[in-house]
Amino acid sequence: MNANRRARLLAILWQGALLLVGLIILFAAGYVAVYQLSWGRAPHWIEAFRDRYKLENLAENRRWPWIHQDTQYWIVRVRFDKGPITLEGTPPAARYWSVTYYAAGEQNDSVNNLSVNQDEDGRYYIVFTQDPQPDVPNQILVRPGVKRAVIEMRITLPENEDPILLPSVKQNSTILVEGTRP
Amino acid sequence: MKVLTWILPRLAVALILGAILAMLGYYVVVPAVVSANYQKQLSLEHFIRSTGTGVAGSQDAVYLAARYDCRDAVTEITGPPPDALYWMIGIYDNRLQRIPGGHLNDTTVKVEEDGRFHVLIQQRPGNAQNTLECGTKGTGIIIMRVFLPSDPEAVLAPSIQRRPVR
Repeated sequence: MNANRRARLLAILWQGALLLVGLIILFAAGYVAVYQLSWGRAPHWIEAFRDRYKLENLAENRRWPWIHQDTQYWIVRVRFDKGPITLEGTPPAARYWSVTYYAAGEQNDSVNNLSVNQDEDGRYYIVFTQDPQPDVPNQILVRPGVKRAVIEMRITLPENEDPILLPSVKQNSTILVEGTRP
Repeated sequence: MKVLTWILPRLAVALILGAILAMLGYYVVVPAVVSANYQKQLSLEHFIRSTGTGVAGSQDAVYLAARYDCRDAVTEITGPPPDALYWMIGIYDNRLQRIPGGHLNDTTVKVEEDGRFHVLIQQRPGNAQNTLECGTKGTGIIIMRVFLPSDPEAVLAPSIQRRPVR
């Protein structure tokens, strides 16, 4: 291989490497920007096993280490700086279910199938708030300063094959997410 | 055309290098990070309990975690079934992913006449009711989750015994 050809190959190599670095930076910056800016816009329920490898949900995989097949992990991205959030729905038929929120990796209060209060129609209303009110059931205290977070619903060992009915998500009398069967 | 002949070989190089980087990340970097963050705190010989504030997960659960290494030993986990709404025990690889055949729960595990469960972690399938099959994944993490125990303080960590494979 003559020196000229070797120099050309080396140039292709380092220019290709540079191109890769540029593409990675471009992709990562674009992804982070879209992820951050879209937070709370058009929220919807995302499930770990079903949705984790979709491009728009890749960042959520940091919340799903060590998940297991007995449990469905449903999350919805919300903003607590715009007011309290209410989940409204009917309990899923399952051995265990709970809702909580995660701003980072910490543990927070939760409401589960043993602690939930239901109304006469069997519906629950779970309120995530930074300003809990006395005598209101199913309140989850959101830590002061938390602006954005995910609400997570765990459903363990559902009792039948039918799709789960997910709760509606409301904020300031606006329905952010309609209760639905996925 | 000139632009294409310039960009295509460089793009091909970028793709090949990207694939190599991705494989390095998957096979070397992620296991190394998991090892640094989790595995060094855990033991092959006993479970460590993690619960309370500052710990990730659900406040409804007691989490017990340990390491396994099934390259040269069969790991036997023995303990009383916890009094809880639900409990499970599972093994995970060095990328925090569940392993097919590596999951048991309170309905699938068999409790022996002595009132205890005996679960084996081994490379080959055994008694499906009481075997966690690690397959070719040599090392990783065992997690036992106990949800809504009647008394969280009364949840006992199972014991671990390792028997060398001859």
